[in-house]
Amino acid sequence: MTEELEKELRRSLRVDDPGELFTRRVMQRLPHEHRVASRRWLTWSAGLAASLLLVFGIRQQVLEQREQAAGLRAKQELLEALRVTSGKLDLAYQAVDKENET
Amino acid sequence: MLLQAANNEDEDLSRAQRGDRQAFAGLVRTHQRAVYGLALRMLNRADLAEELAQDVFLKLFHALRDVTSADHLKFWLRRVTANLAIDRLRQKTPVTAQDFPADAEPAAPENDADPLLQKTLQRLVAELAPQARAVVLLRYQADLDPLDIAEVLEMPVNTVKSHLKRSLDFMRDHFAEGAHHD
Repeated sequence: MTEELEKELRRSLRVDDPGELFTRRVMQRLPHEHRVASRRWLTWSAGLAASLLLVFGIRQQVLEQREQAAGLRAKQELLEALRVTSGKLDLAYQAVDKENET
Repeated sequence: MLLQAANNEDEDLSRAQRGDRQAFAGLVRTHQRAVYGLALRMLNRADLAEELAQDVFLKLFHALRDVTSADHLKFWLRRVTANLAIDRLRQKTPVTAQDFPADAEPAAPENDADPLLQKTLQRLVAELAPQARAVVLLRYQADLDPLDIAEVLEMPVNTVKSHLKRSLDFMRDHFAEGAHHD
């Protein structure tokens, strides 16, 4: 009984080849090479654009930092110069005061 | 002759892996009957089976680099087909005896085949739970032994054996009941 059932099962589960049309339909669904190529090109371009933006951004930031440092240095130099000038003026006033007293 | 076929398949596989579309079409031709056949008997609808079989080959196209040999390809195709079919059966309402097998395409009948018996067996297989159905199909359609079925479906070999036993018992009971009513 089991052998007979198994034999009939094998027979009843057989299916014919879906044929060449099936193969063609599968091949039509595959991604086309030029589409793949253009997608790859698009990915490369996007990557390049992102890298350029990054480089430009970093460069801008470095320039800004340099400008800020230069500004700070100039400010400090100006303050120093003012301090020196004010010291000298004090000395001059003191000399004038002394002369007036005598 | 078998060795020659296996060599040709290995060659087709490595050419397809290098981007040769004709070689890939050759792989599809070689395996479409097995993939479509399994899908059709799992889903019992020609349109769904065709869609699933196409999806399997599309997946193969994208996974070609992971396939190491012609034998591995066969194993891969069976595993992906069975798993996709089980997933789709879980998402959809089961096939009932009434709507079976309006769309199913049987193979050309053999001379001594009993069409009524074949239809009854197909219906009984369609009534099995998805995993049990996959086990029965891999055993009696793809002719795999229980060890290979266990590997394809990633289940213990004893589970495969018990699915087979219970499924055959279910079919035997059906015929015994029928004989009893006659």
